[in-house]
Amino acid sequence: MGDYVDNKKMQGESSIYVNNIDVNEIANAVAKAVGNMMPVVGNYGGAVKKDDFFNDENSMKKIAESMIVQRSKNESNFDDLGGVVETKKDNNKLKSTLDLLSGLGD
Amino acid sequence: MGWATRKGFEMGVEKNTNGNKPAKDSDLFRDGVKDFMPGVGVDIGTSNIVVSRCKKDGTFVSRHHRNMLYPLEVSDESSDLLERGDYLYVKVSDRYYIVGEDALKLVNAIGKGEVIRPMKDGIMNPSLKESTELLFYIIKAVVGDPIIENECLRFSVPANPIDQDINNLFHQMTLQSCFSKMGYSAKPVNEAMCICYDCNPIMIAETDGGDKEEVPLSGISCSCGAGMTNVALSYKGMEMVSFSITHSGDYIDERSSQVTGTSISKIIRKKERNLDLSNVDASDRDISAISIYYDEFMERISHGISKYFVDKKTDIDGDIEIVVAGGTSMPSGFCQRFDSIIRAKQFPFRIYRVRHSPTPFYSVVQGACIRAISDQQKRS
Repeated sequence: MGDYVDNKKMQGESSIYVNNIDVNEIANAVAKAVGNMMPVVGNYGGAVKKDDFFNDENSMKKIAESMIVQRSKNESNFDDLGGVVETKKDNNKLKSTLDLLSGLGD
Repeated sequence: MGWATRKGFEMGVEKNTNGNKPAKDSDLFRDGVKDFMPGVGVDIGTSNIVVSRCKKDGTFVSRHHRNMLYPLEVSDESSDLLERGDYLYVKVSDRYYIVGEDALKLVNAIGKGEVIRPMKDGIMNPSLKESTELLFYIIKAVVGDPIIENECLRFSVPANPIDQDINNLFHQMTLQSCFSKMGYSAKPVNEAMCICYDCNPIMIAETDGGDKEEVPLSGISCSCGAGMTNVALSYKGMEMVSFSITHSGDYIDERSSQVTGTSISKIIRKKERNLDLSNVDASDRDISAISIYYDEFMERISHGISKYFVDKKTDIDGDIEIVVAGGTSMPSGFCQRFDSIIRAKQFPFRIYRVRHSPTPFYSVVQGACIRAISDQQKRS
């Protein structure tokens, strides 16, 4: 994983940046996304084998760090995940569909 | 990321305001908050994850990600390969997982092994626990955060199939929980109905005075995905019936691979780059096989739809339009071939016409987005 390049303290919270990605933010995202899923036993963080049950903040932070993506020149680019395409729709047709849907239930 | 730059996915896009190149903006949705209407659509498909938001001028901005992973054991060689190859990957435990489009690129480059699919037959693959966890992370990364508090989100779900005993409830509830944890007010929406909202099929009905009138959001919508084909009959935007039929795009790939001995990954690549169903290159064994299984697929789907409505004795007072979308419908010539096959079947109503979505790959997610915007507008 890349080097720690910044360590900020903002409003009492520490943010650790690795390759311009906020590790804490990713840790929180993973914690939210994974929720209370079944525990996994794994080997994280290199040569030291350790059972981990992903049930506390430190564990989440560890998996988040391990999930940071690296590409060439050590850039992290999870934000770049997936391509983006724009398609234009006739706005009047869209509005008329929305009008029809406004009268529908779930 | 290559999707938008490849031939197969340029087809049918109405207007591509950035020349079909991925936006450089790394957090497009967040940076353009003021331009978007609140309400987000998500299509968690067997093959792809797509998320869409709509600008106030009617421009849909969709982000897509190939829903697949390629595992590599951690070693000096694999580490070196990944660093040199500019691949997108995550490292979990003693494995690298190359994610998305790069998974397909790498398996084709290495020439052995197969990609892992976190989804199977339209729902989460229950036998791949670790991949499912990664799927959540990918969803989080692709969808991003709500742009307003408790923003409405609609995610597409398949209907239960008529030809297999599969129940999508677990899939639906798990995804709903995931989106709720991300801060969204999330609801499922039927996949085929999304195509109805996006493409607006019409029914030609006769008025009391004998004139013809077009009834909007009324017709049959077909979503030809990788795992399933979803079908819905709608009337004025209401879902009258919906069902799905298994063995769709993935099945075509698997069968073609079996008979040719070509790997599934290569079959997928050929299908997306070289297949033209109106002009099949018979000298290419892979293309011929894919074309044959496309025929079998269309025959089976048409038969299934026909049988469903005949058995139910569905009575419709008007001529019905069929709209078709989904990644499996994307090869050139698909709609013409499907039109001729489905018109040869028996239906308890008249078919007005068969129409292909102008944006077949994005119709489901755009329809989900339209429904989410509608939810949001109702709330305010």
